Amino acid sequence: MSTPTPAERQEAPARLESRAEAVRAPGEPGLDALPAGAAAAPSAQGNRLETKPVLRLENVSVQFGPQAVLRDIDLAIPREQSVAVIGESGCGKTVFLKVLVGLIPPGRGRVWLDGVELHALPEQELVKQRLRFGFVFQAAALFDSMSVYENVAFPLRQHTDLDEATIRQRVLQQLAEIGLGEEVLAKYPAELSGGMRKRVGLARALMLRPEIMLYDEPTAGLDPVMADVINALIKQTHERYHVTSVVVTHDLKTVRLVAQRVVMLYPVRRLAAGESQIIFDGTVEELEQAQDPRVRQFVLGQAGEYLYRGE
Amino acid sequence: MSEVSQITKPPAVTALPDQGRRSELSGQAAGFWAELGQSVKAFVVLWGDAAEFTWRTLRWMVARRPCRGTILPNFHQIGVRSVPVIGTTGLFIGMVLAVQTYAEFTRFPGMKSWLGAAINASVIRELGPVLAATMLAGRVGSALAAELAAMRITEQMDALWCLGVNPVHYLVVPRFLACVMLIPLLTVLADFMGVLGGALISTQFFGIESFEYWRVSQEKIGLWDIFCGLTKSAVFGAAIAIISCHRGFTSSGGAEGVGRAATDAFVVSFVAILILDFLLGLFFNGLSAMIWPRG
Repeated sequence: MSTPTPAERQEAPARLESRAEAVRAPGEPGLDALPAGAAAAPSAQGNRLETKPVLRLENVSVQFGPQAVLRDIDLAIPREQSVAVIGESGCGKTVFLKVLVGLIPPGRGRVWLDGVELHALPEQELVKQRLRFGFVFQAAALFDSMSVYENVAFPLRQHTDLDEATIRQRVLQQLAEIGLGEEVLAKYPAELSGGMRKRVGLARALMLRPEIMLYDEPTAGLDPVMADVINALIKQTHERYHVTSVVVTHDLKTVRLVAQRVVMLYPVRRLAAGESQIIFDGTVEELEQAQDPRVRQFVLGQAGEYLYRGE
Repeated sequence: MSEVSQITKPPAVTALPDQGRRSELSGQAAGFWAELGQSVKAFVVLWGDAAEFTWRTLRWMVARRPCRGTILPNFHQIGVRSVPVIGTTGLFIGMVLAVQTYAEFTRFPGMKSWLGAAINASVIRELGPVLAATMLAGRVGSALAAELAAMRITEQMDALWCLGVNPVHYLVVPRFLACVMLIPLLTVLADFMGVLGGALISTQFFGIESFEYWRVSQEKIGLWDIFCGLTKSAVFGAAIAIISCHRGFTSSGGAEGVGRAATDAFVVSFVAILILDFLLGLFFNGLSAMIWPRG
């Protein structure tokens, strides 16, 4: 099954709903702790949620050789917010995600995770903190040498002492939540379609019940139907596990469906000195109304003067 | 169209004065020194990086027991599946040695029976360990580098980090252990097959008397030779594992980078094997002179 039938797509959210209570991670501050609907409120979330930011970037700059990729990024992400980071290819979105999770050290600046400076931690401690993140990679990054079952079971095997029966049950349950059945268990990543691979990647990322989900171009390279499935799953995951979501994308459909807040990055090489790399930070509605020509160009998908820039 | 080409021109124009300056004599000398400095720096960085990588591997090897389920598959892949190729190479190198040395040894009367010592000493001291290591570098080293490089470009390394697993611990340590622990066994196999091949050709084909052949061999080759050969091979195995894994870890540049990592892993391993062989040869000679002084 490379693409699910409409019936299957209907089924997945239904299954999600029915288990909503059962799988809420214990010890996780649930919705109950917040004013009703706060997490889902699409606007003014930054002020409404009075929790201090779970993630904070302070003057973060990253440079690869002579090329600056990120420049003085200042951003605070409150707990349980769903942020979309948009921007054209090559503006540093993926690097931004990898800095957040501690994979790429910033040349300058700091990243704070709940008041802990992430990149100042010793390696062992950093590895532990990373378990609070779930990362869904652009091409899923499933381990090719392992079957789907081994892939999804991997985090549990590495970090828990659960017996095989429990692991199997947890894997099946997680796969069912994202709309995959038992028939994929024995398959290898090379035998899966792009959409299935991405869903398995999502299941694997969710196994350890992370607090923060990071998605790198979740709908890139997928057909519109599968892209919609993935968008729905991102939204479901956000609502159901009360995670903080950071979605890096250039798909405006994803932005409209899942984001409460949109941050737009602009390539450093085209910025004037001293100009902020974040050229937009606001809600989806504000994005549609934005007056900045660079933002409008992106939203409307126009080439603009691009063709004549000789790039 | 014309607009586009006009706009793309300026970079080419700005590049010209740069070239002009370089063609001046002083500029050329400066360019040479700058280039030399760059390559020296790259060299030092590479060695420092490789040393740090080795240190991390060794530390992770003792810090925690290897990840579950990583030992057996790697031992199978690296050890068991190398058996046919290493056995075959060993057999043929023994036979080739017999063919080549026979011609020389028959020129002098009474030298024939020394053939066994010559063949077996070469096999056990040098050719067995070096050939087993070379085959391992070709079969396993390049595959390791390519596999790890591919994992790197498909973000599987990042995925390991994100799932709280250290790639050095998970990927490198079991491969390193497999190489270091299994290459002496593979060398024993190469030695055995080489000795067998040499004896087969000498005694069955060239008609050398079997008793004399083995008696002289036994006289000239002792446990010390076997010990030196096997110790050397363990060092070669460590070098192959570290070089190949390091190449895989530091690869860049997509599919081309994967290919380059694989080729580099083999070439660098091979050169390292020969250099180490030379240095270890000197070391063991010195050691044996210290333990058993002549006279």
